[in-house]
Amino acid sequence: MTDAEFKTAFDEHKDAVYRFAWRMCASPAAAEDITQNVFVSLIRHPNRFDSARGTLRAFLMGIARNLALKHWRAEHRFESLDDESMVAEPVDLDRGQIGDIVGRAVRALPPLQREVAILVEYEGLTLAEVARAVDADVGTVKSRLHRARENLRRALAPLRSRQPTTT
Amino acid sequence: MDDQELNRLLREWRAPNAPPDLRPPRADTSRLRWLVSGSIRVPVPVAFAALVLLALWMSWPRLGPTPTQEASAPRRSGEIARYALTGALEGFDAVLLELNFQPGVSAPEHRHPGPIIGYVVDGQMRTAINHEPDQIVSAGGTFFEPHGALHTAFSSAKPDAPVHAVAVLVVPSGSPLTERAAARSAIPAQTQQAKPMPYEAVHKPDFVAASEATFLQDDDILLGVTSGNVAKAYPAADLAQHGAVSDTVPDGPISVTWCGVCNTGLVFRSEVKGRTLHFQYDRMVGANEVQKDLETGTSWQQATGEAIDGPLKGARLTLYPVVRTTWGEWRRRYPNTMVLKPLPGYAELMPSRSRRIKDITRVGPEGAPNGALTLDTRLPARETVAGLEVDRESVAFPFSELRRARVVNDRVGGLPIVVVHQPTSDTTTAFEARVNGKVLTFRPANDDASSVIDLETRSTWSAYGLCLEGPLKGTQLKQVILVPQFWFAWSQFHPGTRVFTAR
Repeated sequence: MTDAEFKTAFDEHKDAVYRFAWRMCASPAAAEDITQNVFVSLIRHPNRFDSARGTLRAFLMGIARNLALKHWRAEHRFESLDDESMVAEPVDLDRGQIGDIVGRAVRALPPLQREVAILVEYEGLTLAEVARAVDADVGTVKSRLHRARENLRRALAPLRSRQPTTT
Repeated sequence: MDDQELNRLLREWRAPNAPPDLRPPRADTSRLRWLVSGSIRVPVPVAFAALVLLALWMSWPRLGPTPTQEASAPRRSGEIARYALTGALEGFDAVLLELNFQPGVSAPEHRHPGPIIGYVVDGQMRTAINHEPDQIVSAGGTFFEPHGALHTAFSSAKPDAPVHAVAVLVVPSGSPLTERAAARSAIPAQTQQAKPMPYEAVHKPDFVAASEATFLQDDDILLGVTSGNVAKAYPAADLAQHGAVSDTVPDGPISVTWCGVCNTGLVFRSEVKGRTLHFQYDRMVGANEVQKDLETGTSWQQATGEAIDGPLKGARLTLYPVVRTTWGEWRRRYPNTMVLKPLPGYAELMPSRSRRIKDITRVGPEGAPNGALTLDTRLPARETVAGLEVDRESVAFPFSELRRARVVNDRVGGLPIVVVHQPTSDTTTAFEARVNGKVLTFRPANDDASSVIDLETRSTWSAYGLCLEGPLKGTQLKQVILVPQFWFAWSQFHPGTRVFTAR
């Protein structure tokens, strides 16, 4: 990978990587660190990216997700990464704007559900790309996404009454 | 809460972009800085011993051979070691090979008498088997050829640098490591010299009349398209050398595509948002071609028609009705058909490509190709299936089952459909099995299912959905678009697909 190619890759993907990390970690400092480290990893080991196995974006998101999970583990040592039985609590309507409430609901998801939800809903990755990024098969990604959406539906239910009813 | 409302709520949560002061990292800075300012701890005895050794080495008279030119001469390719195997592999040798290719030098087409697995040490390797598109393997990457695969490209991928690789072969004891490609000796000398032509899309296709299509055999596979009074045939053996052909039919602009790795032939409407797109092979994803359009630079996955990155990401191309059939069957039906004329140099390569395409039951050791995303083991990886997707429900109709059933009445995505398979030409067609709101059930009317009968009105229909005889005479059923391809390709892009079995 030449310097110019690396620069292009950085310019093209830094925002997506940063947004993903920001959504995963709830901390701008951690998101900045993760973004830096993703690209350090790319420039040190450009050969680990194989375009036949998926897009560069999915590859970078894969690195970002590993770093985000590491960050999460450091803070939540004794929690499970994917608690299938997790049932989301309905959100508290008295705290902040709709966007903040939605953000809290997404961040309350177990990490393996959260990352899939963020990559699909916010970064527009295809299921195959997500599967590549989170190192799982497409079926697993689908079921995690399904659980994530069910949890979000439950968590965000109180917001329905806030919306103007459509006729 | 419905999906739409959930999606709307999710969109309310916005994330900031990376802060503008975030700069791209520089890989070398940390190491360079370490060279200047880094430190390591060394135990005193070790440091002392190292200094003594250094002093001894510097004062020692220089002995031994001086380096000769040989050391810098280009390394050759050849056998490094060979060991006889025992146990279950008794009678076989494991051979370690070193491969060195100077730029511009490539191996002639060949086969090995056993599987080979390789590792690229230095440089970039260009490799291809069985005339599939070239794969580029960089240093640190690996390549694999199953037993018997025809090695059609093997060279350095860089015009100015050699490639160095090591490989391990397992071969019958004492056998040579390579065999000349057997097929080549049977081909006239002129064709033996035929070089692979550039893998480029055709944007200004030429056509010839059926009588001039001397480059086709009756059992050659093609994609047939009809629009208004026009019938056009695109031979698969020619498409497989281009990836895509842009064309215009009375219905509008279309792109006729073929992926040689998946044996997938699809036709798309190439007009997207008022703009006619022209496609060109870009790369492989999931062992399926991704084509870039020249107008917007968007990348499109051939098997799904989905834009996977670029400005139109998320858009999907509309499938255009197509029939995959043989030249004999198509010409019988459309004597006035036009046929895509191969460009100079490409016609010579059609017979070998055609043999490869017709051999549609390449199951067994070949398995799924490199790069396939998933492996669904319900069917052999290269079993040909006719894929059908209606309203998110997908079904795979294996040719092996269709040859037995010939006519299948099914319901896919809530739609009653009939699939008709003519075993002689392996032509599969599918239609909505409904006329004026009434669902019809079909049975084959003859051995080849070239005509079928519906049980409700006892009308006779052609395999192409036209009622020939009976109360519904003259009615044309609505065509449903089937996509014949290898199972690994269909299953990886349609996880959760149902597989039809004839009872």
